[in-house]
Amino acid sequence: MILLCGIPSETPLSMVRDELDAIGEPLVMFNQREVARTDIWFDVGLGGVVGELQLGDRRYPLQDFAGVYNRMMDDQLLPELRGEPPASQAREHARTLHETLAAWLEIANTRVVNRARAGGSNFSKPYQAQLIRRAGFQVPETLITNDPALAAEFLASHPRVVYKSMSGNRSIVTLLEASEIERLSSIRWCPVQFQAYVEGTNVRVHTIDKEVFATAILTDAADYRYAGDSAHPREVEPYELLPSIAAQCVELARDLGLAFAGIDLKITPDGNVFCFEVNPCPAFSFYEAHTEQPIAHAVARYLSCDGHG
Amino acid sequence: MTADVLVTALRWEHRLSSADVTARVTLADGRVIDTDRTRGVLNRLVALPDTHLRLATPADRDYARQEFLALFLSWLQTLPGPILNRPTPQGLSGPWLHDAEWACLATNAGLPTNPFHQATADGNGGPSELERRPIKTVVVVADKAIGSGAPACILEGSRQLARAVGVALLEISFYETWSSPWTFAAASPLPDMRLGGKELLASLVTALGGSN
Repeated sequence: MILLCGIPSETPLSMVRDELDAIGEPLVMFNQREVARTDIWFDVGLGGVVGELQLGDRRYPLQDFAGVYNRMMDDQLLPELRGEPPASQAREHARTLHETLAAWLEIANTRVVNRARAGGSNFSKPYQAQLIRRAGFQVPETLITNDPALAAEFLASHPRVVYKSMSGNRSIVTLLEASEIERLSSIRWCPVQFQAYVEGTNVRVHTIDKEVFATAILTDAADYRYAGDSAHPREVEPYELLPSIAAQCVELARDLGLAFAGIDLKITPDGNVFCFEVNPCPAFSFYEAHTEQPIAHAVARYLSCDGHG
Repeated sequence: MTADVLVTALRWEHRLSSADVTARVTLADGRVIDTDRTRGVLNRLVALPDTHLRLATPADRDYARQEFLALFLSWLQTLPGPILNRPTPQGLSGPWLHDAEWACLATNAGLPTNPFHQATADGNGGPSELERRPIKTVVVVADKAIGSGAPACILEGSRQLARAVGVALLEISFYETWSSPWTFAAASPLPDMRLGGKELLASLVTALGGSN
């Protein structure tokens, strides 16, 4: 039996649920929006980890779950808690429930896609870049500084430079224009990450255990996630990775402890492979919708232990 | 170096490329911390102060706080030589784990551990057992376990626990129960250094590459 956690209508979660249904794998959905009717407990002892999840009137032993797909959103942002005071009983219950569930996911003797601890490196892109580098990928030349003069020098020494957040905060990757040099004085307050822009083809690689799906995103936008308008058209198509690069992606995800990963590559015209980031909670539905690559099916098969060692 | 001094550094220059990773931090008093000149780090950073951001809007302050944390995680990882402890995404000076994880890891390391229980019904999400009163401590420094009066199996279990977590420096607290005079209570990557006395100090110096 597989446990799915999140909002059932969320596209990646619903796609995996459909695939689990299609292969006949029994599943249980923890709908976060029904948090008030949900309880959980677990024990850790010499016999391992045992516990129970109660959804409404139904009770499920935690040890019966062979796999868990976690797409949970921040519980404090749930619509059901809108208008609740910060320390209300409903908020406290939601917090305690999610903390207990999250604690169990870290120690559960089951397949978890993905454990929070494994995804931690994504909170610091330069930290993660050091791990990516160790895995043998090239990483773009990067300067993090609060010194406007150093930033200006970096801008002058590269044809094109982008800036983006260092942390897990989502930011739009933006080209730094020479006309913005005057604005650089504001970086004194908080160091900023600048990166040499790498020309080439954006490739998003999804790894599920040892399976690999590569998708090319063809656009001239600095951040392909925000392309697709008339100024920066975007095309998305399946991409064939060299077997050695595919193996390297699988190894990187494994090193990070990620059963399912979204790896952002850029492949330059002369064949160099740069790796920018590894997303521990990839919203793969966009890529599957454009290419029909069976990513949700692979996640479902992994969760149900079908064909994965 | 205190966190206050570091977070208000005059100049940060942290570079990454396929060829190299370097960092050079110039402090307000002119001192420089350079990856080329550092040969060991005793890392006691837990949180980063944000008083220098107090004039920013709440949204900007929150953004900057996360950016600084991301920077420090990467910078500490860059420093060469022994680092006690290496930073992790779960804590700047080593992983701060949930009690349930510590209980699992301690059990696997062979340390006597009382059953751990957590439930939404308990209200606070924490363990429901009676208040724990740690009364004995073992500190592990670079695979050496120091604990006055601790039996060999407890010292070995403590070493195993530090290895399992991947930290060089770990404080493990124990309390006495009817089943074992040394029952695992808690662990922290930020030991109280006073507990280990001169033996701990000597071990630290050795671990950091100094002569003892």
